[in-house]
Amino acid sequence: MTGLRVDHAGPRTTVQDLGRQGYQHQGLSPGGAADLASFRWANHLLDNPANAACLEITFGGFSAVARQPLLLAITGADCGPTVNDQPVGHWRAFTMAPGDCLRLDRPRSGLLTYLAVAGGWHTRAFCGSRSAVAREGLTDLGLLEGGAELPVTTSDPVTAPEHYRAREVPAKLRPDMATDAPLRVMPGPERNAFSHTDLARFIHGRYTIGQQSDRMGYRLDGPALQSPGGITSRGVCRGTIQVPGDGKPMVLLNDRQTIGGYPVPGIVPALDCGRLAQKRPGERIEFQWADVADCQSGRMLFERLLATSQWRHDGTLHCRWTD
Amino acid sequence: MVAGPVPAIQAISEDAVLLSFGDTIDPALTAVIRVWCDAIRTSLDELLTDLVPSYTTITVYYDPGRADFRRITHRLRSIPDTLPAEPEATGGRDIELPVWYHPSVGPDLEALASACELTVDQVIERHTAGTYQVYALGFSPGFGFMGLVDPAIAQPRLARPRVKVPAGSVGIANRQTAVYPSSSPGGWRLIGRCPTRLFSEEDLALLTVGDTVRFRAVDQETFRSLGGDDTPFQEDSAS
Repeated sequence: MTGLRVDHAGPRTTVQDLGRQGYQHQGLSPGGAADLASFRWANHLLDNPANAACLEITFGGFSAVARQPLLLAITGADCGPTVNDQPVGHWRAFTMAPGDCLRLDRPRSGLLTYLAVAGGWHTRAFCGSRSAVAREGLTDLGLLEGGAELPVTTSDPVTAPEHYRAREVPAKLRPDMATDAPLRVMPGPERNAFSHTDLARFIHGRYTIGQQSDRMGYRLDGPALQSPGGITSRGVCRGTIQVPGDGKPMVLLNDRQTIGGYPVPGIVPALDCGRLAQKRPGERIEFQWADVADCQSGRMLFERLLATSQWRHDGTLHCRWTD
Repeated sequence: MVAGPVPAIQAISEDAVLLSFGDTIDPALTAVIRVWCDAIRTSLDELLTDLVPSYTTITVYYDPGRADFRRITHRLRSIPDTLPAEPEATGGRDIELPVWYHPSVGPDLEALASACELTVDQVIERHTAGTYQVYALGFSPGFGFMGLVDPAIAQPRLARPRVKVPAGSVGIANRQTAVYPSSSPGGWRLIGRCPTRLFSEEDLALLTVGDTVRFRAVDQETFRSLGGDDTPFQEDSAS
């Protein structure tokens, strides 16, 4: 049943979950929410399953009308969300009555905003995922347009909506959109094929997000690296930094092709890819080396935090480690 | 006993491990990689999220919320003990793909022939004479990288990729050949068109790594009767 009618979809809005797993060997891109942390918090605010589908709204400019009572949550880039022109806060859960109008302005910083609904958006699932990879052209798995009707899983009224409305992700646990802390990068399979000079240039250099950056990959302008030559094509994971012939690194994100043949000096871990995906063309970034064990512990801490923290009735988050 | 080469195992990301079986493309590796893929599925079971075989590698994806790279690499390192002494014959299927080789749907056919100092018919002969292995799928859903093409008709990618290559287009890039399953950008040299669907949302990809493919030349009428779209290729003015 229809829960929300999109009036203005903004520059780029898609449905995303954790991505299409298990089909990369068929050439199907995994897709999935580009800012993992913001996506996971949106679902956590509503006690949704981790994989529940959210809207990923790029650069705001979004408006929609509720077709039934809805319990929603919004995270990521702050677009000053309002319902019937009243601010509903950010990193929060909120409710809408039928006919209420949700509006998102342009974000002041960041790029991607996540809109979750209780139970998840019930749009088309294909191969176990509702994630849209627009360039694949799969049926009903493309960019959302004005007029789209988004179904929800349930029409049951939410019990105790006031408990949800009080919830807010603590500021210290939100991913920091504004930080210019370096992105971590793990040594890639071809790191040692690059010269020491080039690796120093890469790690001490500053890069600017190129104009041709999207969910497939972020192109970086900055110190060019001498490519040690193509490699035999192989599977490429999220965060793979590939260096094509022009020497300008490109970080592959969720909508990447499943295999690639460019040399790989390093790989950016998922949570840092999320920070990267929040950057706009023209913004600057830096890298710092990290090892797989460090990145993995960081990710595990994040997963444990979400798995073990619970919302109190007053809307604060109970978490044994951070309290 | 160990079947074939033992791969180098490298944790490359928080959720991916790369198995490398060497640097050179070797048709004999396909069977080894198939056997390893089966063994990895058994060994990692519910921890596995994706498995991408390619020419000389397997990229293994796992759930970082449930296992760390030490546990994954430990399990992968114990796989050689479980492998059969002799990998069975590739196990892949034999697939025949009809192709209408014609300049109207293969805009690079004539140029490729003259670059190779062959006639168009000779190019078609060489392309249909080959037996190709599917080494990898990627680029787009169902796109199979096949090889190895006869060196006499091997030509590099176009310097400038086309913005739009029609679905079914058959291309050559160096010693690889492929059929574009859907309309997409692409830089391979196009020599004809195949009416067979290589990807559908119902049946997914037609090709699997390890399959063997042969091409059969058909005329325009047969191509159409097999469901092919014979709309002549048009160079996109934007390209």
